[in-house]
Amino acid sequence: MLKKMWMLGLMVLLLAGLSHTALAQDEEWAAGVRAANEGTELIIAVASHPSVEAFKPMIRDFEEMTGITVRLDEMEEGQLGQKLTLEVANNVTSYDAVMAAVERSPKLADAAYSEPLEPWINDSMKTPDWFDYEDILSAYRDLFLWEGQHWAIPFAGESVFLFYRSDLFEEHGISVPTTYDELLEAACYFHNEVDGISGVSFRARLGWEFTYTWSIFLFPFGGQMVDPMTGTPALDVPGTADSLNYMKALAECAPVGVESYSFPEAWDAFALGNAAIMVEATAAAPEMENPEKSLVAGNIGYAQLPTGPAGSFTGVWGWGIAMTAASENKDATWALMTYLTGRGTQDQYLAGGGIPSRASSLGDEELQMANPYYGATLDSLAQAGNLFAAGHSVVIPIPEWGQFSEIMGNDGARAFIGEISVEEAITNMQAAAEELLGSAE
Amino acid sequence: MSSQRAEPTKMKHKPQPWWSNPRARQRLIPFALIAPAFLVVFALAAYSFVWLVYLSTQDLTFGQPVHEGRPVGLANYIWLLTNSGSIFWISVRTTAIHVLGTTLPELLLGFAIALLLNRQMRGGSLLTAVLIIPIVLMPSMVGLVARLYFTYDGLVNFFVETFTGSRFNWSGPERALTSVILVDIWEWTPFFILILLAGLQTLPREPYEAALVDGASRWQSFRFITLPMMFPLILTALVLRLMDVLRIFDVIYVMFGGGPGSATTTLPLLTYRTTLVQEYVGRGSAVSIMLIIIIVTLTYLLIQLRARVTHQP
Amino acid sequence: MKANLSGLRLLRTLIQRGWDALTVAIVAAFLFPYAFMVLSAFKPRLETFKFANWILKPSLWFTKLQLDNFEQILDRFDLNILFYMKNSLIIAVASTLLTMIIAIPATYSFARFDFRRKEAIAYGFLFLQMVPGISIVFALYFIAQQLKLHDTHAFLIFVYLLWNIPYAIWMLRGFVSAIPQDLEEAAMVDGASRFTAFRLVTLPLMVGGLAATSILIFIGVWNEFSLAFFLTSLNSRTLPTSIAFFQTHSGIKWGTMFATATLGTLPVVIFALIVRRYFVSALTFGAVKG
Repeated sequence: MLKKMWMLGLMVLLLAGLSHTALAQDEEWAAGVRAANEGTELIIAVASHPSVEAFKPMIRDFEEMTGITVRLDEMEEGQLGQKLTLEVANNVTSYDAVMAAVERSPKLADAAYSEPLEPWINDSMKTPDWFDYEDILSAYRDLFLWEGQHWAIPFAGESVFLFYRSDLFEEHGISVPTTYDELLEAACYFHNEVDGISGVSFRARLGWEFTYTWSIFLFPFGGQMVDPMTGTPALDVPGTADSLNYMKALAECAPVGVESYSFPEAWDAFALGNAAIMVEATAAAPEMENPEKSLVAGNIGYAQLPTGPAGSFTGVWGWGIAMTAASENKDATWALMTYLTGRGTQDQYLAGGGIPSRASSLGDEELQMANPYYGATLDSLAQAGNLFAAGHSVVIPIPEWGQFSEIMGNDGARAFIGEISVEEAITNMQAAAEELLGSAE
Repeated sequence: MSSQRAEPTKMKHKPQPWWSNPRARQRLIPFALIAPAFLVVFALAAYSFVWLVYLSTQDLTFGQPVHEGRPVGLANYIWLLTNSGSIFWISVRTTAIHVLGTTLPELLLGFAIALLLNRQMRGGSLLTAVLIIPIVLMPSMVGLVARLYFTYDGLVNFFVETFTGSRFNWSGPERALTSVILVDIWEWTPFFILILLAGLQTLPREPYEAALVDGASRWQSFRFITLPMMFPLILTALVLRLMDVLRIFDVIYVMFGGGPGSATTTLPLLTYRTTLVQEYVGRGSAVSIMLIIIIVTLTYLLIQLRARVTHQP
Repeated sequence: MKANLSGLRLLRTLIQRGWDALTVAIVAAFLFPYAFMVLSAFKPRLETFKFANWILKPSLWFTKLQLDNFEQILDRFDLNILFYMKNSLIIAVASTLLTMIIAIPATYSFARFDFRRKEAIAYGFLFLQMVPGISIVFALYFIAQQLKLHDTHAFLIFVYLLWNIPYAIWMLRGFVSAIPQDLEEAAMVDGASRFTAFRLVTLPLMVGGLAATSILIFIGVWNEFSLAFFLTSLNSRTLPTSIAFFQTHSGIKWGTMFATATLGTLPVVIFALIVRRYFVSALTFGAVKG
């Protein structure tokens, strides 16, 4: 028995490539968890995401180490949001933990659906040293800060940056755009001058996808969602219209059908070599560099987003794991959460294609060499800091965010395709947003 | 059960409750047989419908417990019908185009192909069997496959380009609805073919023989014999199809989710988007109610028309 | 004169063959998208996306057939499609059986008795089933929570009855009406109860109709999306709603999706072909005989 445990520990060590100090504690920790929780079954709701793919082999190890079984309920992320809202609406909980997008976290917290995590993070009995919460970038940690407490452990941090075809840029002597005018110019150059290539790919499908991309263009043009001082809707500033008009101009040099693109189509357009530039989530980078799925792997450059008339901004999004307040297996759930997101298991996580969120991995020189987008990811985090300093965020941390985002996505997408005018769209949005959050007066 | 019924005479001397009277029982049998079906269907439908009506008069956000709703009377309906931010009327128009754009071409095409298949030919039954396939496929999968086929580099454009030399943006605002309609035409034209073919095969021969004797042309015998005899059947097929088209959700949801803009937001999509995506439960329920009223009214009118044409209920 | 006649006959035959060819071509066009989908299930991902390449090089069609996609969807630790197929199967079979048990007596009543408002009640059933699933999904979700039946097979089985029972009644009514009442009456004169007469005389004669109705209801439930989508999760998720897995952050997984669609549609296609004799009456709620 003891020998078996030792072998198991060794296997985990080899798989995860743990540092030497973690070894003894790791085995001890696993034994402790097993003693208290063996036979427990955990049910976790997750979205389809590269990080979840990375979790799957880790979960199998975790099951072997601890004797806990884990069942994943996996769905598309919009559907996950609706399912969780249905649960909140009816005051039921079918999960022990859920994968929470930053967009949904305040809503879950507000409904007391999720559990505040401070007591767990600070409990040294239950939290192994190799978890190292402080190592997670604070920009990501604080995505899940609401009313003074943290409600999820982030594991995948995301911002948006530029993907560009370094081979094409070199061939045509185009330099990497640093302003939004240059971006438009470069996109339209490739779109019009190079056969079989469109300019720039991004997601703009009706709904949250549209809001996602728009929130990137909104702030550099001086647009706003809410007034940073009062928190009341302030969509009707001139910059909001400018940013929408810019998106419309950019769409002229985007792949045909961009108005129906969700991220899979946007990524495919770039991965198959049909687009010269892509404005997309940093999370796309591992896929784009995977030669099995991408024809352009190895020919991609990464840069932070250009500067607009009002400044240089990008946003931060993230996924975290939240524990449900009604879970009956909280100790086991916390063990799983620390195992999946801890520093000690990061190497295995990253090797499996997980999206990083930790200073130790993004700052690691070897990893930076192996993953050319790590540097640009850190740059874009600094850029996201600008937005925070200006008092804005791409996701407003309020329970009503889901609705707010759909208000913007609905009328914004209609104006984007010219169904209504930009002015009309903004009037509609502002009215709907005021109905939702109240107005300044 | 049968043994009891066989010997009711035994207890004749005792005072009888009315239900043991054989004739009263006889009258009750048909209702007793229907009762379970009626209870299940009615219970589900009535309960859901009452709920829907109630919710449509509430100001309620999806995610809020239902008892926290605020009664607002008819405000949701008024907002939908009059507010500048509401796309209800656009959606009604989209739905109308969707319904007409699917049912009419399907009917015409279906009739034409049914006439073709109605000729004597070898392997005819195999061909009709093949036509069953599109109808029974899983719509959600059909939608996802169609999403791929209709991309700019997709299968549809491959053929379009081969024949016309140019490609179309099938997922753009001008053509997204057309794409949805084309998918429906592929899926459901066989429905009309099969029904109308069955009808054609049961037409009596005598009128045609008489017409031939009178020297009628083929067109004339089609126009004055086939068409009138097929008319009730055509109406039946239309009623059934109409009922279904007005409820289509899965294919559109998977292909375009109602977009781009509101190009494919038919009323079922509007119901979904308003209630579950934009989270206005009250307004979404009001859309549902109006959709149900439209479906029932249109179907009722067509059934009445059919009854008038065939002079039977 | 004679040569002229045979020339005319030849021309006529040619025209007939021409129509035949057109008919075959049209039917083939209806089959093509499905056939292409099934073939695509055997291709790796990038190739599925590059259509032009694919069609222009027919050698690729069969030389590089591979089963990777099927292996992946059947892997218990990967997509585990068999689990969703099992759920779909349980729900579809149980709902069909329950529908039949409830609908057969009701059908018998409509076909064999005269009573007040018979047609009104029959049409009532027809109208009740017109409610779109997506409209009442919120209400149904609430009921499921109240009854503690959320995410159970039982609840979906029950919910589908709302659409299945009216359908079965209208379908079966035609089959029962087509069987002469005299046969049953003769049996009853011989001393059989009504139930026995039905069981021994009418029921055996409507086996074909029952089979057809059941299979069509089965197919309807097997394919249903919008209710299953919101009323199930981990324990009872059905096959049509598994499309959610293919729209992922790693792009839409076309290969596995094609494989799943192939696996999920083959049974119903086969079933439908088995009952094709009844298919037309099935499509029309029994209003048209096939």
